[in-house]
Amino acid sequence: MGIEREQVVSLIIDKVRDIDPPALAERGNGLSEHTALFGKEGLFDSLGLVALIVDVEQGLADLVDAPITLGDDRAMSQSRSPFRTVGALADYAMLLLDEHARN
Amino acid sequence: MPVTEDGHRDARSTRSDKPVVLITGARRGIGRYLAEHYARAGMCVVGCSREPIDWQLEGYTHVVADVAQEDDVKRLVAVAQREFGRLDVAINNAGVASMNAALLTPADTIDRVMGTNFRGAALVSREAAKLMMRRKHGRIVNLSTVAVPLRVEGEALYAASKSAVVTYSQILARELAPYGITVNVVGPTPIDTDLIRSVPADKIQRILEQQAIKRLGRFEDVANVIDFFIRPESEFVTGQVIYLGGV
Repeated sequence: MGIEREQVVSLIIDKVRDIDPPALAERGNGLSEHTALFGKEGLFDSLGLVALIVDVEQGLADLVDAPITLGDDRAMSQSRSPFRTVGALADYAMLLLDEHARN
Repeated sequence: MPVTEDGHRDARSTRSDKPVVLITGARRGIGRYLAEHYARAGMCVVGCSREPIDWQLEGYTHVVADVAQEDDVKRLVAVAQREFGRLDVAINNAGVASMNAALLTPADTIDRVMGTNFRGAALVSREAAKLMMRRKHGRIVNLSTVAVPLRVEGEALYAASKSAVVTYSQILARELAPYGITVNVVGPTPIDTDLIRSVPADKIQRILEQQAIKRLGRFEDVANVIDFFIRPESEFVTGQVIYLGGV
């Protein structure tokens, strides 16, 4: 059975809550796929974002029992960062999971 | 002792309060000495090499892995995570030497030496740090060589690969400091191991002449510096390079 996007969004939100960046409480603790992760309105600074990506990579790897690398060259070279929001990260993760399933 | 596809492993508890040490290139030479050293000190040791080992050691888990291969490295670190749930220390010891005139060095040799010495150290450091950062604690120690500061002719490729390790480690130290992870480098002098067997005796002698203390290094000399880097009191020591022998 394939992994649903909602499952990935939930995973990302869980990981954000685990890290609990200070900005989360300042913004009322609400999280959705529209929540900005990085940038002007983002929850994380660069260090925090690295920690989140590492945690999400591990969560995805646990789901599919194989390494998933979110911070690859393709992600870094995109004009619109796949790390800008929860939803964008979920979309990018789904792309990688789909490629993994096909290989 | 059960033997799995991951190599030899001894009986152990799956979760332990003992520090967990990962050592690459642990089959022989310095790596094997360090494995024995830290296992004797009561730590859980996970080691790797490209070939299986023909020895056993209490407290030691061996994984057959090539550090230049990303999937192998991920599998290696996953063993520490799965079996012990933590990783405290990673020692990037795996290395290959190349003694050749720079003008005669084949491209394949460049790939092989850079692959194991630099790419391997970078991959293991990266994956180890991912596991360490969960506990906001970790020690990474990378091995370089006195051939870097001594600019030894005939070792351009080997020294360049280890020079890359030094620069990588110094920058990594800054990137990982916020996560409580230190990164340091030890640069041994020639030690009587397989790595220098093919180096002519007169070349070794010329290196020794450039050291303040003119003798071959010993495994204990390397372990002593690593002991210093990984002790809890060294949490404020990072991005440092210690060359042995007074180079």
